[in-house]
Amino acid sequence: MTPSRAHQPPLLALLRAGLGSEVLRPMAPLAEDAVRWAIATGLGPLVMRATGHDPAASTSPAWPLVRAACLTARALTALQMDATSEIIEACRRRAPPLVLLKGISLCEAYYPEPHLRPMRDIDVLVEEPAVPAVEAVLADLGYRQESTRPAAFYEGHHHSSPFVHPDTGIWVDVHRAVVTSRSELAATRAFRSDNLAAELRASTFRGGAVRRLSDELQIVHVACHWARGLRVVGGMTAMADVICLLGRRRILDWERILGWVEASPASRHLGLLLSYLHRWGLIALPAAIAARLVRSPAAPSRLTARLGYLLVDRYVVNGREFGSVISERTFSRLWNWIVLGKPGRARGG
Amino acid sequence: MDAIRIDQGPEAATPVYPRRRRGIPGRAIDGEMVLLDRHRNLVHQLNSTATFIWDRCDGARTVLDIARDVAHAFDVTPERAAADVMTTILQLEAVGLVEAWAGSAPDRDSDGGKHGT
Repeated sequence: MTPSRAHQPPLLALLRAGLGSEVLRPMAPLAEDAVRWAIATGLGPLVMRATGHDPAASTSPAWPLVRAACLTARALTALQMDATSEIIEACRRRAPPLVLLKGISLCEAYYPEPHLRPMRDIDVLVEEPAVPAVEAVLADLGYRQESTRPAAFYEGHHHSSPFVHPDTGIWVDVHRAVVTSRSELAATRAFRSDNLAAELRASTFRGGAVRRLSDELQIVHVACHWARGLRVVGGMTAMADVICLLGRRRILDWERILGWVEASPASRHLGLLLSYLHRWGLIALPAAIAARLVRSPAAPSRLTARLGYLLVDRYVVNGREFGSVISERTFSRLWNWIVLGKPGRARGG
Repeated sequence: MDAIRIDQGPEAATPVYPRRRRGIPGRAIDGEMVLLDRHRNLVHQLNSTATFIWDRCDGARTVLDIARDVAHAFDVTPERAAADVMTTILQLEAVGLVEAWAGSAPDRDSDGGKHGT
């Protein structure tokens, strides 16, 4: 059953307004608690974009926080984009064009304004033999590898130990694959190296040559990353990604996507995220595609899916605090069960 | 060289060289500087005058050099410019955005983080 839009959680209304052409006016639907949660979960700039034209917005007690969050996002994104340009230029003669992954690709290619997409780090992918060259470039630019994890952790991981620049605090991950080899997702056709190679598209970033995932692989990657690594704080970013990916009347080749993920865990992850957004009217999923995702052998039961929606509504979107019945640990266990279809621990996407 | 608080080193007696603290990146947004102090989890927004002064806190210019630039750029008296620059730098120092040396200019390649005020 599709819930009524009147009951839509305020932050989903914010996604709709901030990423589309609607103006959320007045700011009143966003109570101070909701604004604080929006900022905490990375949607502060969206609040500014959706309500900034409302003269009453600036009288809200939370307005200084909104403004600070927006300024921070604008400055940080500008720094991250400058750093990316510098890395692309420095790699030009020493490695194949970098593949931009996640935020740094999505913010510039799909979002109305780059700073609306929060990014913790810059994710780039290159073919394994080129990883040392890219790492050497980063070292030349002043980045240092820093991690609290042991070196052994990164041996089978999809990226090497993270780099950070001491002056800017910008973090960079150099990926050699899209998903960790320890994850069952690595065997999914979508993420196999032959498919990855076929789904890279030549592109530019501020004039520099780069590559990006095709729209189709991008959406599968976003959904798997979301499902496998769902965080209560920041868990709405992937929702915004999908809304932007499917926005501007972009047509995706759904047959190709379903061909890759059919009967795999990736199908379950994709189905969960898309159906969640579809049921709240945030995306328009073709009915035939929605039906095929629901009928997939890997799809969760209706009851399981509804439990998933409930958890996302309550904790990820509404920012409810955990209590004695659903503790953070219980949430994590339930979510892993929903995502995997069995008890266990989901590994990275 | 020891770092000292600039209010302990009168410019008239000893030149003071303010320098932006390392690891606090900034970007001009709508004409005003936004500085991200990630260690303290703070964001600072400087007005246009403070941005002008901040840009010149390079460890090579003295407070008086910066005051001369301010007097010229904003068409104010040298005395007024010196007072404004000193006040601004004290405020920037108080919130950990600049550090200042008295004496000769610090080595610009040195690690500023090792010489906190």
